[in-house]
Amino acid sequence: MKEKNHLFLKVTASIGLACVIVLGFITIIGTGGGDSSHQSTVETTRDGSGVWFITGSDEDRLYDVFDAMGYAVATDRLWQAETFRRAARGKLAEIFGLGQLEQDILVRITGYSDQELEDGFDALDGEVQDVIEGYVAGFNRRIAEIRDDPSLLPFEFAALGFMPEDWTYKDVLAWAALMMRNFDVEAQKMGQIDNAALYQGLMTLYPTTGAGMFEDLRWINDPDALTYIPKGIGPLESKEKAPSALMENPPVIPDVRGVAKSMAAMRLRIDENLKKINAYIKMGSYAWTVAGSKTSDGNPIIYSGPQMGFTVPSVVGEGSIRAGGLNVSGMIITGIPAIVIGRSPHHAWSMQVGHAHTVDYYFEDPSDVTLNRMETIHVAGGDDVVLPVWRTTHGPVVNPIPYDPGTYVPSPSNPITSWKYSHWGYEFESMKAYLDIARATSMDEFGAAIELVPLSQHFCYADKDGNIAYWMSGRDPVRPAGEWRLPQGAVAPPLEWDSAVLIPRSTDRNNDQGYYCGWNNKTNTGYANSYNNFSYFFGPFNRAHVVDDYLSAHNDLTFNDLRNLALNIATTDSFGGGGNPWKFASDSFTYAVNNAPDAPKADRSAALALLADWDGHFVDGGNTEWTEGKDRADAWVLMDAWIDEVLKLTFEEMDSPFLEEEKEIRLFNVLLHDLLPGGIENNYDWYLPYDSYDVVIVEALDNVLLDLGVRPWSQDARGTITFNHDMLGQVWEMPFSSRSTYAHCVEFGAAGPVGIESMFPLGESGTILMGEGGAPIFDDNFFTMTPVYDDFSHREFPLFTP
Amino acid sequence: MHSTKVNKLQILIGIASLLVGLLVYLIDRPPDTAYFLAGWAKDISLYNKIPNMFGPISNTLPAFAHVFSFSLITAGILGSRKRGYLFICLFWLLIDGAFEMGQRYSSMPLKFIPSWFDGIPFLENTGNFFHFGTFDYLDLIAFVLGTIFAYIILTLTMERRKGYEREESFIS
Repeated sequence: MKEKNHLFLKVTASIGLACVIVLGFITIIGTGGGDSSHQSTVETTRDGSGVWFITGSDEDRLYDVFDAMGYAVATDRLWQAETFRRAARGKLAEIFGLGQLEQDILVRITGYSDQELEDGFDALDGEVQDVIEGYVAGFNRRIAEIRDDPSLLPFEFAALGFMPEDWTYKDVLAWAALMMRNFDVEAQKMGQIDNAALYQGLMTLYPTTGAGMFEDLRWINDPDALTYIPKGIGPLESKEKAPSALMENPPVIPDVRGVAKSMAAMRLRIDENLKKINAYIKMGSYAWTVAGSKTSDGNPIIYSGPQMGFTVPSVVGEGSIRAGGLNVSGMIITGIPAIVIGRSPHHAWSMQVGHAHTVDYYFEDPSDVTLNRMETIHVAGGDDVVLPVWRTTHGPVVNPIPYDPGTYVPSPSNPITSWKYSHWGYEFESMKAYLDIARATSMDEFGAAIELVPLSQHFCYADKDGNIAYWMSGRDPVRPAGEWRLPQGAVAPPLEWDSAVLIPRSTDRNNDQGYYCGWNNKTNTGYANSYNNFSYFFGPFNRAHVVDDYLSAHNDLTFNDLRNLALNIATTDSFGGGGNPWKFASDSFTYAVNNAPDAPKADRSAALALLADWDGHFVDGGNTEWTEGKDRADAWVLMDAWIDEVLKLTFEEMDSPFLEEEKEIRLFNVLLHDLLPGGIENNYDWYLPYDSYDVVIVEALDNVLLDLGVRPWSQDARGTITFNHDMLGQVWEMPFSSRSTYAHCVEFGAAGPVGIESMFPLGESGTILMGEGGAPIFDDNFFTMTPVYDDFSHREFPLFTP
Repeated sequence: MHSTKVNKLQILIGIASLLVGLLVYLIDRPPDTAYFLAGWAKDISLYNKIPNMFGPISNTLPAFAHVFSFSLITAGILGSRKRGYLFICLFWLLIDGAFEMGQRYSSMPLKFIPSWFDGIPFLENTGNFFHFGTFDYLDLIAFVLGTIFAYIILTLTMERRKGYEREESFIS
């Protein structure tokens, strides 16, 4: 009896135990992961141009929403996405061969390791992980369809003879990081190395004046440069001459001219090779946001025009997401699960490349270098390349490439150089930033999201509450006082900084002038130039003046006025990629001509009269000619040639190879520092060996007029923008202008947007299929945007009505 | 197994603790965050119908309660003793910890979920649990605390041994 009881108890306890364990598992599984019984209501539709619209309920999962986005993008842009992810993962050579090996090497050295990508993903918010994994799932859903039906395989894969592999979250993170570096003014530039070479070259050729010349060519901050945030003070009346420590006691620095040249040549080769496969991504941009006080309807209006080049297919597309708690539409970039530039029912925003100081180069001692990992790069048609990746505490070693401690001979002229990037480790936060930017319901929330943006961009903003605002994003660390135009360790012991400690954010809202605008110009008067990117040295002339001039001179602006301003400014052109340099040179040039010892001379006077009647556009004739005209204005040709000749004569004595790289826009600003009142005064008399700038200006005009001959000077000389497919050659062209790649114009009423118009090149689809005999078959939506893009007409985009 | 009697007190404490954890889901969390509140069960959710009850601890209380309650219920059913308590507590710590880590490294467990789970109540949510569940370091800490508290309560509520009984373990 007792044994029976024991058996009964044993059985009962065992059953109880089993039940408890099952219950334990069920309660774990049943309380986590949300409600799988919720049926996704996410749907994707397309408009007549192929632009996709994802709709659903607020209860839909972000995973499902971005699965839909991933599927739509993969359907449209699978080959483009393939080149992007391979560029980001260092796997281009695997399909393109040796020609792309240098890009693979560079990105493996400066990119994140697999482990860092895994750790970065794990550190993201759960919802951000859902976004990425959903997007990847959508991509892979499309790839699975293609595997089942190879007739859907895009032309380029078929031509190269391979099937795309599944995407992973690592592909998305690596591409996001590389894309943002493409959009960061300093990330991929090496201006400090070039500066060291320039300084060394100047000191060699001009031992007594070289340091002053360096100061003139690499000024730190011109307080008269045009800024996004309006100046607190007017233009300076007196010159500022502030010799740096470098000028007062010019140091001897290592001669790195050879290294600078070889590094620059490698970067150039990489860019050219990426262009060949339409994977070279860059960014410029113009934007303006105008308060209700300056518009006819009293509504704020914003225009965003990011300039990202003209690839095939376009680097951008467009889409709309109204599901999963998101309500946003706008510009997308292939491979990135986000609306990058867009609008919501509450606000709209623009992005243009900013100029935070994000990179410093450090000269290192061999003892500071450690092996991080070994990478193997597969090369089509060649042997695998095994690449050691070396780092110091500052970051990856970028010279020599590849570094080999066994063969490296320490030399001041070939220093071990590391790359320290202030966004390192922060770049994956961009996905969270995009979500928060889209979901913001106030300026403060938008500003909080800007803090997460791991690249330097100017953001203009407008909302339904009547606000306009501006931020420059990016991590610009607090640096100790010192010489930051040169690599650390070049002139003094290296200075250090912490990427977690940043200078105050450059931001402003609702200013008195009633607008913020810019074209990659300076953020505020206190901000220094970008020492690693010479296109971001700000002086009296910057192309942004054409936007500022228009907005400051006009009131009661309509939606059409502010939309059409894009065409107005895009038909200006200069060595600065837009703008009208004549505005800044005219007084000095006119004075010099009119006061020349042999004045007046008829041809010179005629030249001045031509320029006096000119409206500043490189195409004469107003809107219609701006879109369709084939000729360049004679006045523009004269202006361009004259200023070019003045610069040539002014700086001709510096005919050393390292100065050939000096860009005209920077030399023009050096010239203006002498010709215009206020701002910076040069240390060196650049007009030498001439007697004065007046002599230079007049001689230049005579030279140019002789060279140009009889008018007209520029028939059929407008130029074209061509769209070249990497395998099929040119597929489209349109008249040249200094235009943006994407554009949206949004007007806000009190309840939300009351007008949205947008445009982008070519079409939403980049898909080409392979037809019989290998003939390309372009998707129906490959060119559907050209009717509204090519002539700047824009097209209406649906509002956020229910 | 020389089984001792079922320890009703431990089971009751365990069930009570489980109900507290349940209240978090019913009151403090939106119903669509938990599988078991799907469908008709959504109607029993009190979320947004009455004020939240647990405040900031609502995020980690279920993790604590799960280890704690199942350690007590298991031990109570088995009527085990001190060494057994240790094994039981560590067993549930291991299980809960493994599932939590599975949410962090979701790609690994997702590979092993068989397709026949689809359509089977609760099991069908296994994929979602790993895919959409959010890993939280604080949950791991809550598991450890739940384990420790469970062991203490088990020890305090252990029925004293009668003369002829000897110490035995859960696995003896």
